[in-house]
Amino acid sequence: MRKFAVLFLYLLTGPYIVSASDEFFDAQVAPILVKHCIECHNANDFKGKLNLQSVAGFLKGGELSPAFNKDIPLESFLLERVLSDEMPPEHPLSTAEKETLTTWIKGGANWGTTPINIFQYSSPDRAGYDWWSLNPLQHPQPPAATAGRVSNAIDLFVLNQVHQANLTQAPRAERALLIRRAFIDLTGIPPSSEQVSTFLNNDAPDSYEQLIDQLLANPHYGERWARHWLDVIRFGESQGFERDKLRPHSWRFRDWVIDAFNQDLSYNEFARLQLAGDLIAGDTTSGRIATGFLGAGTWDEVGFSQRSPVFKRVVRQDQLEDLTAAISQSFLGLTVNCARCHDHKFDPITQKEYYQFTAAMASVYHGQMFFTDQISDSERAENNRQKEVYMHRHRIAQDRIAKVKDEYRTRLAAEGKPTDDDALNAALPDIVTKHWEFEAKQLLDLANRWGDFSVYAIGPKKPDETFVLIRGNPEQRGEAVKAGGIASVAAGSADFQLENNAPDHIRRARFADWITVNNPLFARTIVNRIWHYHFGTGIVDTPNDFGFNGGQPSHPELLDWLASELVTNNYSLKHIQRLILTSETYRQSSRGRPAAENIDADNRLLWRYPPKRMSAETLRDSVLMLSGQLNTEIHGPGYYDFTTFVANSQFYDVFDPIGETFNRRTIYRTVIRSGRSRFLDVFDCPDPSAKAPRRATTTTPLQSLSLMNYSFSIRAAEHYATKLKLRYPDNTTAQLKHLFKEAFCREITVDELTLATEVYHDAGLVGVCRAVINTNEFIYIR
Amino acid sequence: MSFTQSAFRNRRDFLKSIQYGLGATAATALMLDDHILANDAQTRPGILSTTHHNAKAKRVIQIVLTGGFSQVDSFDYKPELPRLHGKTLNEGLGREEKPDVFFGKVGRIRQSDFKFSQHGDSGLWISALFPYLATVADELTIINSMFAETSNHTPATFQESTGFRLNGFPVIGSWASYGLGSETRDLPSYVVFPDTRSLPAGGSINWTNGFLPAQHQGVVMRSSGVAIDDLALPPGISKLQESSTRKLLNRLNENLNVRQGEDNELTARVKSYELAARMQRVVPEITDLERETKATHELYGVGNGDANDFARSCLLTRRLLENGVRFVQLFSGGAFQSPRVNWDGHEDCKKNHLREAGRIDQPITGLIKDLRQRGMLDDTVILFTSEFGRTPFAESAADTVGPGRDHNQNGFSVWVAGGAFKGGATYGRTDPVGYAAVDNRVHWNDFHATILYALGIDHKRLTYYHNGIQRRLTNVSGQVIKDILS
Repeated sequence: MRKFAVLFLYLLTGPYIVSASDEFFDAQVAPILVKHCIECHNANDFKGKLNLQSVAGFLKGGELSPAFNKDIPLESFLLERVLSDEMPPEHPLSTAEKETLTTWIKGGANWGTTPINIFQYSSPDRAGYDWWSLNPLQHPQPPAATAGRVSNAIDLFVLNQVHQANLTQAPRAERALLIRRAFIDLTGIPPSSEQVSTFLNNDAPDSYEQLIDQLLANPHYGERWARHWLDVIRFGESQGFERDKLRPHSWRFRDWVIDAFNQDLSYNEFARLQLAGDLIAGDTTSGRIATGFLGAGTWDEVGFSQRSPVFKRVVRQDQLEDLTAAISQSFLGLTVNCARCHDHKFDPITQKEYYQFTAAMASVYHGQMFFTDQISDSERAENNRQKEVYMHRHRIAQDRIAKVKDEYRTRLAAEGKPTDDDALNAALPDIVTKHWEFEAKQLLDLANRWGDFSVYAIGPKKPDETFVLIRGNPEQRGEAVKAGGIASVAAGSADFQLENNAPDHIRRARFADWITVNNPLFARTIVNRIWHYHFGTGIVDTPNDFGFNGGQPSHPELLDWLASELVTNNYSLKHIQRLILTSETYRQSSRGRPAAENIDADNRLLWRYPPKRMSAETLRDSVLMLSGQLNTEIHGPGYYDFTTFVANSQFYDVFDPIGETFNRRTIYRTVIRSGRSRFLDVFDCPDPSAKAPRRATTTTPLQSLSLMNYSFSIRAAEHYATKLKLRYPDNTTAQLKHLFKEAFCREITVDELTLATEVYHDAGLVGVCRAVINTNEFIYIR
Repeated sequence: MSFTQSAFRNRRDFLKSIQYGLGATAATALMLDDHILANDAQTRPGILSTTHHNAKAKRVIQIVLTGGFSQVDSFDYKPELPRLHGKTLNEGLGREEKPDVFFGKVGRIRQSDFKFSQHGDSGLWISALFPYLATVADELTIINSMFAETSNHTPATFQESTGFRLNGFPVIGSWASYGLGSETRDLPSYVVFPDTRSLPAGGSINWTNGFLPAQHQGVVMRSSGVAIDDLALPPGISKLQESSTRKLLNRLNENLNVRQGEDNELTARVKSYELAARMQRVVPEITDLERETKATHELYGVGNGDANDFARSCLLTRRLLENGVRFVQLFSGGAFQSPRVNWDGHEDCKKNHLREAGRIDQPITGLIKDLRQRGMLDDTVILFTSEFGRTPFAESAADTVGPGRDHNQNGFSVWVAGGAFKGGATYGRTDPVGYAAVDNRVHWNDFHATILYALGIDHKRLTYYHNGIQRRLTNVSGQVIKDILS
């Protein structure tokens, strides 16, 4: 394939001189020129007026002198500069390279392909076609076992490098820590104390494997892993920009992602549906909903409605750049978006190829998609049933308020005070007027959203013609461009053989195929993401960039082995996760060892399991769970933790609502771009407009203030205390024992019991619970 | 191996990892670590161990006028305008120009609604819209040749603060915090005072850390009421209960260290609780404006009608700077709602601008004078910016001179003061009607490069790796405007 591409280019780019030694030039000389010379001496940027990219430039020479002396080749200026180490500046050529150039010049400096393709080879400044990640998947054999516990091939690859670095595998983690680790990694919440006990009492030799299978089948698995994907694709439920209008129906896409993970939808299908579900599965609801991916980003409503057509075109190009970034980084780990104004500075991606991507997406506009016609009878029945459930809850909530109001009215009347609405509202406690009322209203809204068969997704339009835009300027059109891929990726042909005006359903579907079929980057990026979420750092530690500026893989063979496993197992993500979680590498203790830290402080070689802080969402969900407040319902329209009104723009006043409706997993929080939660924000929940392939983990005093003092935290401590007291009435010791077992998955020590009892006396059980949810032991997964 | 050595090694690794585009995740915690472990250090270092060049300025105040304020009514004196009043733009420019304005209504040229006169030793032209600021004319360096890439509020505002038109990039305050760190352990390094009437459009997007670590996000403070969220002890929790809870928390954390082995990240978390406790002690003192004299209150305009809110924020700004805060951002104007609470004078620019200027003119002037008299103005940079300007022609039917003005990206004014800036100077020029910048045009990238330069930072070398690119505030361009530096 690659050879074909080169030949193709060859034919396109002539004129060229073919001489007897052109093969020598192409194979040996051109790589040296690309790696060391052409970065500064090319057709666009010819320092010293010398262009070494083409034979014409070479023969013409630079401003100081001709480069080549055909009468006395060995006195050629180029050779002189190179042999004296004056060029390339500061990075002289190796002896072998100098010899090759000497041989070439001496033999008459016969030229091969011209102009030389600057993308052909990687150089110290940029990646070429030979860049590791662009090439076909290898199918490496795992190394032979040496010392250490081995569960599957992952351990063989990892141990091989651990031993080479004179490190040793860590012992297995305690079983109680292991179940906590696996629970949080796979479901986003810790195990209950009963689940811990069951596991610890299970003596079956495969009890751990059983646990992993159970967790992969646990419906909360999809919630945890959907959140990761939504991070990557910068999913938000409002428009962003000035108006920031609410998108009340984006939740159906979020649920689709949850279900896709739960059902282990093969990853290639997962991707294809998000890119073109409306085209390839348009008759089903889920096909349409899946394109919520294309509508996950921001939308500049004001920009698109302004009067100036010139500025509207800029807005459209900005939006296509954002979309191209999301698609190419999410699915391929390529930053195609960097080639909007010029060829990519670091990766072999041409500006034209950038516009091939935008041509493939030329029909993509955002919109609310209705699927009333597509919905099946059973789906309709289920949605209507849910609507009724919420209507029923709404009525209960209203009755509850009415009942309290009646009580207050009666009491006020008995006291001879006025009983009009104002007087009543003034007398009622906050919890009723603020929280109960809000919850009742919210339940009605949720019911209505269940009953509305639409989703915020693609609202396709007839594609505009696409051109290369000179320096990215919509007013300066270059050549017309057809939908296509990136030639340097060893995938299907980047030329889709389309007409310029090919209809949307053909170009977008072809594009989805090019991304998902036999594309090595497609498989590599996703297995790397999975690895990243389990071990805190990917094999490539820049999950959205496998290009020149990205990281080098710490375990290149393992990466390809995992990617091959994925492809040969029908792109099953759960298969990869089962391998990872049952590996001995994953089961290692997380305890630090100074000697090992001296060798590999970052633990890139995985001589232990890396401790991780809970994510913002996991922290909130876990605190809700421990305190007995977590509402574990799955699916449905997201709750609002804000009041909102529209006055030209839409405004959001974020607060801390109280009630079961809001105590759901955080993934069901409606994500507003201008209405961020300060509790989640301080724990590094990313800006929903920014693609977040990895989250930062910062440590700040504001975090401590939030977890100590925020109304949510205090309420949780209070609920937790109440729960424990109900379970073990009048038995302080039993309450404290249970608390430690649940929060830390271990028994309380004698000393701890003594101190906690003291604190219980001074600060109440609430004070003890408050301390516990703030501890490192609770907040870290180890 | 001692602990400090270990932290040092990790920090070096961290810097190296940044350089090679590896992640910053765990290492950002170590940044915090470093300063905690160095017992006496009162600062939290930024990514730059030293500045790139010597610079006087150490901190920044940015006053953001949202909505777009009118240059021809304030700082861009156009003596020809009275004569051209009622003429068409083409007549005014003496050439064909088809202005592409936001709402598409191009009325006749409208002269300034405020009389211009010269002020200070420098003779700077400032209109009667800002009578207080006119008294500190010699401190101001006015740039009259700004231009923006869009006349759409939000992308223009993003560009004003992040250099990019799109969502998701860090603002200049976050970059300053990231680059220079904090001079205080007791306060956030980047503090924001939103307009008391409403948050700006986009809310917290205006002080987002984007892809930088969360510690560089702006922290909202209020100069009345609760200063910082979650700072106070929750209702119903006594001091005894608090200290008792903290005692247990500390013990449990110590116990974990024994089980888990020493770990920098865990230690940093323990220390962050100590910092939080210190903030709880310090912030109420700093935010207590009653500690200031009556004369100071009067200087800023505290208690003076509409100026009161901004005056309190300006006074608190000075107190924050004294206590080591790196970057303070004050918003003049909120979101786009009805009635207007910002500078977006579409309907009646004069009425709108009079109201808005009345809220900030005295407070800002008081702040400048106060910083000057305390010797703080030399190492503080003050920025007075707006996402774009307004048209010198009316936003009305083609043959009329209506009272409103539309958005104008082609030419507008901002000013800077303090730090290393000349003061009493103007830079750049618009055409004779004040429509488009023609001489020494300044893009936001240039402006940002200059501000970073004033802080001792080479804008090309303050970078953060994100999704394939070493990102910087100035994207791929930016020229330092040396001419406005002293």
